[in-house]
Amino acid sequence: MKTMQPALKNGRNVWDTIAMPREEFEARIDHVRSAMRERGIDLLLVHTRGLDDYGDATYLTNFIIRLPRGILLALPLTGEPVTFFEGASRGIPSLKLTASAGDLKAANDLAKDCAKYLKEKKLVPSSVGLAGVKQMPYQQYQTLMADLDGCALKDASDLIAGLRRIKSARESDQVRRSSRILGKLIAYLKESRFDKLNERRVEALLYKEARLEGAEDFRVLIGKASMATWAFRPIDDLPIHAGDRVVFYMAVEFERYWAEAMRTFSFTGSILAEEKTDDISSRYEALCNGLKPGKKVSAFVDEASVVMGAEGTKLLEPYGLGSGVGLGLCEAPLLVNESTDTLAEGMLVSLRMATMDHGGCTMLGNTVCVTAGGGVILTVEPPKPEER
Amino acid sequence: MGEKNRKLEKVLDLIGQKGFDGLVIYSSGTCSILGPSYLHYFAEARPLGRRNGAVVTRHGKVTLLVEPAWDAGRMAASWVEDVQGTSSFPDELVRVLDEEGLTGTVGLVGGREMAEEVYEKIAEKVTLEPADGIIESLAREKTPLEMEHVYRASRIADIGFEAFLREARPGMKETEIVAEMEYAMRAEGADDIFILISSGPHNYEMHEPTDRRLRQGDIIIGEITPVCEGQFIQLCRTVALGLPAPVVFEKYRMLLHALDESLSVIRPGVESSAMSRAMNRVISEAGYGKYCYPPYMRARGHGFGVGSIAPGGVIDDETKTPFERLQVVVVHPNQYIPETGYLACGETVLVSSNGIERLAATETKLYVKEV
Repeated sequence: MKTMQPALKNGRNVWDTIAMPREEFEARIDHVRSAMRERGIDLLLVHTRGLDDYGDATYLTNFIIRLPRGILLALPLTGEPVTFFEGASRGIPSLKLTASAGDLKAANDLAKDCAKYLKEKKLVPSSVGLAGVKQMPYQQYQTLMADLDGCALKDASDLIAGLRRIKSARESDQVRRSSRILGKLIAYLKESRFDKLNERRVEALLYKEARLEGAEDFRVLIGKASMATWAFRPIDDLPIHAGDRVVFYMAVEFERYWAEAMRTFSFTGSILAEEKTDDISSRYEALCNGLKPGKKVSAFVDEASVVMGAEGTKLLEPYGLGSGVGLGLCEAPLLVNESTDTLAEGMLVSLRMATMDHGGCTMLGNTVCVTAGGGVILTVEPPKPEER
Repeated sequence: MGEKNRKLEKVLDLIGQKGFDGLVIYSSGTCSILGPSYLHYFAEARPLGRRNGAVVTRHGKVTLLVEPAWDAGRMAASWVEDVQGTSSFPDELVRVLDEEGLTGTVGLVGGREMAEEVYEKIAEKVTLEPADGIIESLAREKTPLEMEHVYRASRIADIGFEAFLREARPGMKETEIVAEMEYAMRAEGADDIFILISSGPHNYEMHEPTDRRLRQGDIIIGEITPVCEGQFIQLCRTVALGLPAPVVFEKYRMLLHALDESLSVIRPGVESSAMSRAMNRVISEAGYGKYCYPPYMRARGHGFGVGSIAPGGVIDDETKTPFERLQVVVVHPNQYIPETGYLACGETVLVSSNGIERLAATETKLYVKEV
């Protein structure tokens, strides 16, 4: 789901090398280089931009840009990768603390600085794979293309994205950690008492709780689902009245990895009571049960439409049923009819559901792991003391 | 006549002067501390998705295209009446250009944010000419509404610093203190927050928060920067946990002197480099000239704003752009000093007719918190 990008990733910036050791990145680079050899690519250039779609570069080096700017990563078949980032060199010492491999270079112009480096290192002309470069600002793209004159250019946009579809055990664990924070936020919303409630206050409280739990990034959208027509939007200076039905979309990034969840509440005047009937729970369970390895994504989408019904399917249409989740909130596989993907064990997906009743719309969403027995929900609330 | 109509009228006038068929004002949906948000300024609504744009014809027809499509309802809060949601922005932009009969030269504002995949589509239809200057010239002087946001953000920055001072104590993690500051500022209405911090007996730079726990004797430095409707305001402050060594007071006094000297030269018409030179002169005379320039130091300040960040994203000894009335400028003699480590000292000011107005109420000094 698209959310407002922050001006800076303000949250905890830590690389836990036990949770995600250097060997994990080395293995990824080895896999990518094998794929490069198979495709006859000597040099891979990966461009990412902003604070949402950084995954392809981060997958290789754990480096993340903290401002909504660009990265251009150069990975040759041998030698270290080099990451060019838009920013000042002053920050490199602290940035290096969370980068697993290669050199970091601050750039005024990604294209010019990278091309100059490639020429100096005699890495061009060669066979160059390109991933994400069409998302470069056009001036930079055109500079890069001019500087790569004489190279054989190959589209490699699917190369890393393909490897990211199925998560390693360590990646799944990272998403579980993000999911755990979301579970705590959901519990926090349900357990808090409010005299008066406004959207700003809820947002501020959620940010604080998320940060205290270690969230590197946090996003929240709200929808007033009791209104006849509504859509998700960022928080505004608006009250939440008793009787209002509100849907919260929340996403947490923990050490680069995202998870998302949606919950619907009715504000009673003092608490946010979750709208979750047995019918909704059983329908969502049916959706999860259908997330089986070997099933075509398109077939799953058809099944989901039946489970949700025409009304629910229509309500969810603007936002989508879900997608892969990991280093990005929207990555392969997309849960859409047009997909040619097949579900596989180890995929992590967002899975959303919408239903309609007399009080308005109810939405429920989670981050779910595809297992042999079906989808397992990761974004669960922590057990209460008596349940432990 | 409303402010919105004035904006459109001025844009149309400038489109005419440039001989454009029309104008495309583009946004990638980001809000940068060092860059203007042209579409946000023009439409008076901040887009959310990665590809958004307003098409303005020379006859005054305005269409706002936003992606994702579901965000169109929110963006309808813009004064632009024709707001359309889309899930295929480049194609829809071409359609709007076609419908409006734009076939010649079209000005492009925000082109630095426009991805090649969008540019290549519309460049097939029209000749695009960079035109950031159109919004820059409009946005040079802040509107009364923008000034409201400036003062609001300034009050929130003070609240952010109060939280910083109140919450800083031994045992607390950097992440926790940032969480408290962020909570305090968001609860007061900040749309977004930009905070850099560092703690320790000897800091080298400011960065995003880590798991480091504060200790007695630490120097904590922070850039506290709330955002209201795209308007940033920054406070740079230093807090000592426990009485620091006399040298810290001595060097901080020197930085305060550098700040005062640099603020004293700011007035409309003065080249902005004068501010940087005044600051660097004081610090150099104290023996730290080497640390005033890269790789230790980049900019001595920069402008803030939604439609324009003039006098620029970097103010250093070479910046020629003059100060103008109603510019919002951060001035920060943040400085690495070998004896003390990095110290943070900085103010955001409004350029007034004959000098400056300090925007935050928080006193500029070395804060010492008894522990």
